[in-house]
Amino acid sequence: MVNEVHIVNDLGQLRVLNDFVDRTIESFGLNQRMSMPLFLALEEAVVNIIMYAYPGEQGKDILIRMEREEEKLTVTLVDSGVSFDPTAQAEPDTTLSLEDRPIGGLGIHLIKKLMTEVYYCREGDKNVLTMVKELNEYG
Amino acid sequence: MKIQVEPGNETVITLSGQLDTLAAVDFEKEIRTVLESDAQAVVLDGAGLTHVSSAGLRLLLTLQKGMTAKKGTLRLTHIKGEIMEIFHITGFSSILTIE
Repeated sequence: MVNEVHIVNDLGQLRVLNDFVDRTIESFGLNQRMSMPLFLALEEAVVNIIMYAYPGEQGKDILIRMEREEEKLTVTLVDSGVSFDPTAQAEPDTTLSLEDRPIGGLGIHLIKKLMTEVYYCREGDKNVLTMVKELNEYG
Repeated sequence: MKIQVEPGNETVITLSGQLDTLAAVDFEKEIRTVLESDAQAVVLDGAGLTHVSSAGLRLLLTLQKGMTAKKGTLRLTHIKGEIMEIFHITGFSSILTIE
């Protein structure tokens, strides 16, 4: 099973993303409990692309593809923006006290924790971010 | 996302829906108002909260830091299990007061 959607680099498109996740959960027959981690990981990744991939440019394409193969869900994000590997960012220190905690820098950390596997590659002029979730725990 | 604020010495903020990147813009304005008010105690009721993204977490941290700076308190109540999981992953469960 494969579902795809194209959005442009505008934060207003997060609503399209939300509908897409809901539709995919239904058509793939996924447990509703998948909704929160899936939408959260996708939002973090997509917001990153919207904010940073196409500086000063509008109407640029972002492809979101979801595929279910048995108990594995693979989410792939493709953009043609500036080369950026979100998985290479430093891990935030989540044990710091209130005073020392910086505001921000949690996005990729959340994605890594919510998904089973996350990897990035540059294919030609495209950024390809792949996030895999094992579905066993959700049925 | 719905945000209701009942101002007072103990200000109650009720959130329902998704505290995501889009909702964060409105929530940031409400937080600024609350932090500029005389409120010394803020209760955030998350009974209807279904989703918190990192933009939402950033604002919860802003609110907590702001209340601490003015020697006030922030308490979170009725937080759902799925959201508690996000708080644990990010270490927020040890920074925020969650009842």
